[in-house]
Amino acid sequence: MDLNILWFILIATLFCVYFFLDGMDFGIGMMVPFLGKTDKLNRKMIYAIGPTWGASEVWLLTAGGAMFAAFPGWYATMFSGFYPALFLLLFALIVRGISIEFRGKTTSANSKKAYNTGIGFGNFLAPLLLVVAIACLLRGVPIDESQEYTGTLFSLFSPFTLFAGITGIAYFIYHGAVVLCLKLSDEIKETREIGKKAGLITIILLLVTTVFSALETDIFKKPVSIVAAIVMLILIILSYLSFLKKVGKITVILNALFTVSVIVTVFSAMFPRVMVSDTSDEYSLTIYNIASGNYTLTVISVVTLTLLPIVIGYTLWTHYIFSKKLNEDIEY
Amino acid sequence: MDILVLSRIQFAVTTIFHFLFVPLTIGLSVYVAVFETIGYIKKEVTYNKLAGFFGKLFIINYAIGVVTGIVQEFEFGMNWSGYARFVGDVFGAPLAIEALSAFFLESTFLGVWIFGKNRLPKKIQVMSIWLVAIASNISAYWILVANSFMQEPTGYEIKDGRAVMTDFFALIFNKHVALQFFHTFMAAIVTAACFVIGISAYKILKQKEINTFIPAFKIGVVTCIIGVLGVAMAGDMQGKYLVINQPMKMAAVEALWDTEKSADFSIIAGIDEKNEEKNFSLEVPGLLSFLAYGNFDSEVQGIKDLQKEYEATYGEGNYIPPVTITFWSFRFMIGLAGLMILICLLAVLKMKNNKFISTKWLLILSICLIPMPFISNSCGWVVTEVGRQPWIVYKLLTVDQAVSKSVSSGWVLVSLIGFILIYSFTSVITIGLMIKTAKKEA
Repeated sequence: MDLNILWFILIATLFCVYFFLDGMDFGIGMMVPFLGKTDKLNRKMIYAIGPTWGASEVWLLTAGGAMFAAFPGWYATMFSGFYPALFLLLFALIVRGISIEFRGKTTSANSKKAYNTGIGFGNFLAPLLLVVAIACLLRGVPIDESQEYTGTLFSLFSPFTLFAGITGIAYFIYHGAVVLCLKLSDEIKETREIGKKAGLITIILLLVTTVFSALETDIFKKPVSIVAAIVMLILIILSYLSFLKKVGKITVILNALFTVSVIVTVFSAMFPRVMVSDTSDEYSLTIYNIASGNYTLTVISVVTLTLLPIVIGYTLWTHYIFSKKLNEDIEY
Repeated sequence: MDILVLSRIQFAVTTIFHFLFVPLTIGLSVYVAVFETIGYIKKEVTYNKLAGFFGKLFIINYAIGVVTGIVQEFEFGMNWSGYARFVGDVFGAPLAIEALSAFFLESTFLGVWIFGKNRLPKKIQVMSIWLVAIASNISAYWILVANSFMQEPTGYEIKDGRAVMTDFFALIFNKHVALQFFHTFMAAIVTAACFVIGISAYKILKQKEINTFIPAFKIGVVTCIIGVLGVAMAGDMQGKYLVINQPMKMAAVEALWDTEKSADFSIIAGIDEKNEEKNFSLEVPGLLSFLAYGNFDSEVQGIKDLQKEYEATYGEGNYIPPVTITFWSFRFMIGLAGLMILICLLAVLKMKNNKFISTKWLLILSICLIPMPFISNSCGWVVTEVGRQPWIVYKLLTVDQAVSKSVSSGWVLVSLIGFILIYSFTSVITIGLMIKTAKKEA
């Protein structure tokens, strides 16, 4: 396997972990303004994401850094091309970050309400834009022969990308509800109800998105992507069934596998491209025409393969020690 | 407005704002770790209280650093895609390694430290906060590796119009990094020291928990003096280094238009950039030559000669950085550093028998220390980055070649306004929160 492929897989992996981890924050965060009529439940919800959102965001930061280091042309074209969307993404991430942090330190009921809105807004807008952006990489955007993006903000939206975006939102709410049910010891009923609705909506929307993807993307042109897409649909249904029966760790594991299957579907359909040009497929960015040299790829491979297992190790350790049920004596 | 100008303003605004928080994070993490460790070893409640108290302030500060940091990484691609394309092969690696080696460690163990307070053994708490402190410093190192490539490119070759890494170790052991890291680390210590001194002085002035904050005040004063001396030492070495490696930056810092033997150092001056001269200046004879070469007679190259030299090598163009900004930023930076050390020395004089606790004017001066390093740090970066203009990578790529071509200036204006609004809101709330938290009992 050459290093270009290794980095393609590593970046896909970083996005997988990011969406799985920050997906919990997105989901729980979106429910904050609506769920939790009592301040106590509200605080518990924020406590559920308070210790981890910062570390989750680092996975996104690392994915960005990895794109920059391994495929600078991808990073340059995508980040400048998607400028308005990425600005709104940054704005959303800032709003949710400071809202979570400031929420815990205010006593005024009005400020709390305002920060709850901020948490909900940021955790809604950020995943919406991220999913739309990734859907765009696959569907294709206007890119010219000099690898520059030639579209506008509106070139990013099509039925496929929009449905992908709202499917993402529905899924993250479902995922958040699953995790929250596991973390709460009481007041679980309301969350379960939301989870039931969101899960069902996710399945329906995902089917619609898959149909649109057949029209707009290459998912059904590649055997690996077809298999991954079928596995993806099976996994979300299995996850939902297990949630309906009794929410448990198995539901979370199925969600993790579902996230993997989505990313595999998208990235295998793109491969070896990282950004499809709908101007002409010749202009598409691939892991070979926008990559760093072999020397750089070797250096970052050695460093990453040394450090990543350590990072995964202590990340799992902290999630393990903090996975216990939430207590009353919380800081938020 | 022109996209280059807007992009530069946005980068300056977001970077300066981000770097208000970073040095305090780097420095204060060390102080909290030290307090926590002393508390653990000596089993003294005072130090545990101090660790908890400054820890709370540290957390507020850290969160803002995280949310503003991600903006920085994205901007290289969003606003400077020409730069990202040209330099990504070299510049991307330290950024990726920074995230992997430092950010995960820092954010994860800060979480452990905060939320493990009543759940985990004390030993793990102490270890966690040290890991946070170490990680902040590792991250500083990697980002300075990246920055140093812009100042003094090493370990690369130009291939098909792009910089390609050829020697990783030349990149990470760039001499520019060593000096810059030492300077930045010491400045971070000073920033945190002034923060600790100022808040302790406030507590003592208000007669609150005096016994807890006396040791904090003393530790702050002593380390602040060491820190400022360290910064001065690093700065001196950097000056001597830069006069050879980036002579134009040094000439701009001194507003030295003409090459001079036994060059004077202007303490203040009226600078006329248009006519390339000084209207007036207050000078110390020969000092500039001494600072640059350790010898009062040496010749220091002036801006006009360097401009001619650069035009001969790199073609027609203006290679002169904005002189006024560079000149004054440098003077504010060292001026404030001088003021800080002066206040700390006055505090030392009152250290015997804890006389400072009843010396009101000294305590008020000490509170005034808090903002000084923040201004000084920002000025330092203005000197470094503005003094590098018009280059984005010194002698390889200029800023107008680096700016994104596919972005409309309208959107940059929108994002600039957006960032200014959200950052202003954040600053007001953060400062309010810090004051509120500082007023609470330790």
